[in-house]
Amino acid sequence: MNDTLKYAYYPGCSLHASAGEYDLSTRELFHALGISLTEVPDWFCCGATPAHNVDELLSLSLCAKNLELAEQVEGDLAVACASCFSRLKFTQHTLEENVTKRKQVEKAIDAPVKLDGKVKHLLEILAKDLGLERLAASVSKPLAGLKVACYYGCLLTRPTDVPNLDCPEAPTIMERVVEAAGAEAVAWSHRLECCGANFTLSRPGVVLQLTNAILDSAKAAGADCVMVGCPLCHGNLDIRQKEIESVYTTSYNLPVFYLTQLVGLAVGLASEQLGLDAMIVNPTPLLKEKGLL
Amino acid sequence: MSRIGVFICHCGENISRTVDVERVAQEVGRLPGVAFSSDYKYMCSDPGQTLLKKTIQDQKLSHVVVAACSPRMHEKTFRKAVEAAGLNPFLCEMANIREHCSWVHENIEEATVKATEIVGMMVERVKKNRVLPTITVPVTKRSLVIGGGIAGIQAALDIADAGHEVVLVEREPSIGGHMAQLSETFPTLDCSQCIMTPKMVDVANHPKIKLYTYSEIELVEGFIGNFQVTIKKKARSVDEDRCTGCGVCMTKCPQKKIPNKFDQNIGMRTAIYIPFPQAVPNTPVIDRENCTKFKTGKCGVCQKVCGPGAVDFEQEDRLIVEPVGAIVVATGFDLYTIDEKPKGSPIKGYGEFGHGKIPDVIDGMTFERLASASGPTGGKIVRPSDGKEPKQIVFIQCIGSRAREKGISYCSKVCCMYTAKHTMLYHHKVHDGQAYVFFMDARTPGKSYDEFWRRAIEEEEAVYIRGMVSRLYQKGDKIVVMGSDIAVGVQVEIEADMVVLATAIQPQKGADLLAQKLGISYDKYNFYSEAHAKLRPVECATAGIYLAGACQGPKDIPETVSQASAAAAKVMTLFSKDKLEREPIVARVREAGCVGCFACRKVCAYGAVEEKEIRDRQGNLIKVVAYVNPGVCAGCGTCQATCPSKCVELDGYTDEQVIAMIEAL
Amino acid sequence: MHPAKQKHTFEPKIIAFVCTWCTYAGADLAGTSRMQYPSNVRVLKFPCTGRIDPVFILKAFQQGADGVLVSGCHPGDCHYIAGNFHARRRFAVFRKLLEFVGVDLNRLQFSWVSAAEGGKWVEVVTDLTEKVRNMGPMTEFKELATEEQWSGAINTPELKEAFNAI
Repeated sequence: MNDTLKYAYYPGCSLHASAGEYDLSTRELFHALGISLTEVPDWFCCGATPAHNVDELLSLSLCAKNLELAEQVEGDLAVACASCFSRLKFTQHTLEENVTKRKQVEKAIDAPVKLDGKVKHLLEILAKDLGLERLAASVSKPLAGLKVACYYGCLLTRPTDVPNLDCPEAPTIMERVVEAAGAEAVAWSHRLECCGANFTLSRPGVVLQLTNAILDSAKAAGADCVMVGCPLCHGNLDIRQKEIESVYTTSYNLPVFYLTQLVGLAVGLASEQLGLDAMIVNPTPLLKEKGLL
Repeated sequence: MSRIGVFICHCGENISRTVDVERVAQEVGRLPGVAFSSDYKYMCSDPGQTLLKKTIQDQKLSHVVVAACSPRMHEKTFRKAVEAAGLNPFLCEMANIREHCSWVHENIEEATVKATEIVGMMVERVKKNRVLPTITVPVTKRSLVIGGGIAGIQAALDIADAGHEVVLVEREPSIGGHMAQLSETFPTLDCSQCIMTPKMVDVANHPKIKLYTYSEIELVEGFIGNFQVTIKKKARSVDEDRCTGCGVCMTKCPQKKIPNKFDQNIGMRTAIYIPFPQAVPNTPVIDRENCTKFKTGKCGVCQKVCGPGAVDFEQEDRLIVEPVGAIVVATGFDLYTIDEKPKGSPIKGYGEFGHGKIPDVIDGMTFERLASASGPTGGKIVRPSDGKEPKQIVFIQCIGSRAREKGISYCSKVCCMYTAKHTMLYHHKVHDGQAYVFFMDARTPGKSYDEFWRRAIEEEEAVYIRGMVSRLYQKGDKIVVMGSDIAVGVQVEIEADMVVLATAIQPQKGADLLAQKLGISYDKYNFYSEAHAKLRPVECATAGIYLAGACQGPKDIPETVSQASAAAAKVMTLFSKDKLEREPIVARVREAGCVGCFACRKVCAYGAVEEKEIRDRQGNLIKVVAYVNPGVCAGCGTCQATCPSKCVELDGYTDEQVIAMIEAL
Repeated sequence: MHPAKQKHTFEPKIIAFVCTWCTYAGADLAGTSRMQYPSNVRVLKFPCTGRIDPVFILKAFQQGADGVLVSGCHPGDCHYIAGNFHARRRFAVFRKLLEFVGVDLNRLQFSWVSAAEGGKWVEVVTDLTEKVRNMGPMTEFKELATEEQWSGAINTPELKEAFNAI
């Protein structure tokens, strides 16, 4: 039964700020699916890229403490942001193998290191825990006729053996989820190519080049829109899309959806519940054209 | 009663400088059972040995202890001398008072006391020594060779030319293996089939070689010199004795589009087929899975047109038992593929290269078939997808190999050379084509190898880019290859018409199962393990079984042929005697006490423990006990220390002997 | 190689059980190289450490050995493929038993010495000899031997109580 699925929920900093619509659509979707999400009390930043680039012990400690806090809530830990997901999994992986680091972290956080809790990305919860069949059964407004380019980015499935979400170099989990929602997932070449991530702050030129290649590939494959599972990928592809079009004198007009927004539409949620108005590239014309709004 | 003779050697000054040898001889002379005790300057010398032999006879000695250097030095010498004097050699022991005493202790008193104790210990031990007769095992002078590639062919020819019968078993319908698939071979670029087919024909015509093709090994029983091998001869559906090899059946077969494994599935064949025109034997096989007659009951055209009436749809698999004395394993290799591997497999595929789904991304062997004059395209390099000639080919080295994260850590040895060869073949056939090679290192150590590689760059215009490829994907009808050039420090993108991957060399599928049938060891990759990496590269730890070729590890043709001849030489050494003589330091089971728990079998690394039924006079089974095959046992004694009932004893190192030594100290 | 010997009245008796192919050969090499070491050790040669029965160690202690050394080929190098692995497992369990029985495990040493490690042989023997010398003679087994055997009579209060409780 749907209501036996309970999770602790770690939104991460982005979902409480620039990616507010990802948080909103996640809560609304899961509520509609009857999956309970309880936010981890007093959680704090996972450290993302800055922490592990500067101080490994800091990065491991931040995540280890968050994992420990998560133990207070019943259920596995649900994570929406690919970067938080990657950091938490990395921490578990590193501390499982390295006793010395584990001892250092335990001293730093002044608490035992708990590594047996399961950290799951939303995709895993939808595709495996809930199951694609039950997901499809919950769909009341299938996304028929919508061609979606599923964009994984770097951190959802890599490096091998850390996230263990799906095949590292040829995953299909996003496609399976969006197809269960009735959409058509296109085959395109840049599903796993980097968007430039944090370079958006320090070397935006790099980001423009990389995201241009991604959008170009999606367009060449005939996609109507792009679907992501990471706030930073979203930012680079959505917020910067106009700039990309200007610099490379091209036109994409590809709305960038969070996976929970698209699945939420299929499950019958309204635009306000999914935060569609927060998207820079306006999705309304496309959705109206496909009869999905 | 024992009459032990003790001989203390001075070893010139080596022992006598720090050990008072006369005193030792005196002290030991007083021990009960010692009939003679004396010292001498050089026991190993001719006069020393003569003294030994004479004393044995004069004094009617029952046992001998020679106190001198290490037994690892001269045990054989003294045992031979003792045997010449009429005493069983295993009643002679050595006491090491040089390497373990005189050479390592300066204090004469300490050294002398220690030497006396050491000799005394060996005196007590030798009292418990028993006569151990040499073990002889009869040898059947016929050899089995498993695998009909170049390794198996070479080994078979060498052994057969030496006058011994060879049974050669090959799984495929024809011998030739992978070498027959190659177009030209490095470093000379001579045609592979041209140099190989004469050898194949020699095998077919050799009076001493019994060739079984389309056959597999079903069961192996026995031990060195005395194997019984059951061979399953699969049903060809063609009577080999009647078939003349005319080939009419193949021209009339309606099923013409079955992918031919020999042509790496880019060439097609019929249901009744020979894998390639120069196949040996030239007798077709019916692929029953794809044959209309076997699938639906209709057709049967081949039988109708066969003049000699050789087609036999009723033919069945047969089991044949061949007795042999030695086995050469030459099962060769298979190529790694980049497709998606099952979950949990230690070896991973290359999702980043499309998991094998992009049609113009091929492997090296497929390129060989394209380049081969007798291949499916008549030697034209064309794209499998649309048959067009590729103007830009990207070759990528080390696919699977040297990739810990993919599960294979080793280097496949031959790919640097064959990739250079491919660039040259491509250049010869497509003059305006450009070859790019992404590589990490160029491993070209053999004779004329480096020069060959340099030729590819300097004369044949191949562009070598040192760097790896992170991804390749289909874009329109091109393949975009994303790599890096680390010499310059940039990322490189090439739009190629075709990509050729130098995939890793792996053992054949089923190599582990065959190894288990044979009782030989293999490593985690399923390569067969040699007995000693440096000094015994063609033997297995299991006596009587030898290795040749890529089944033992990746190697090129010259090395394979060398190893095959080496294995054949080992077989010939085995066959040079009618009986195999072995040192009698082997384990024996005391059957009265054995309960048949077979803990000994679990710890025996040589598979020397067999089952033996103990029956009463009426023939009823009482119990099944362990039996140690004296032809196979290597004499380590692990079984004895493991046996919970203390029912197995290692001759030469019995508990009695050991306890006697300990009690003497 | 070995330090100047201290004036000590106790000379420990060390018995070494070694394998022919590695440790014995290593000891030979030490001899060929004329390395010097204490003369307390007596070496017993076996084809393989796999042959060494724990009973031999017990017997050695019973016969008055103060220290026992078992040495063979490095893991992976066994001349008989895997005999040393079986020995290792056997002795891992046996050590626990000896400890339970009350033998000080510092008297029993296991080592891997290859045929090329003459120096290591010397080191191992010297270290063990000095360690055991400082520990003094092994008296546990001798004490057991001299203890009175139980006669079988129920003649102490504890035994009476136990008997009545049945």
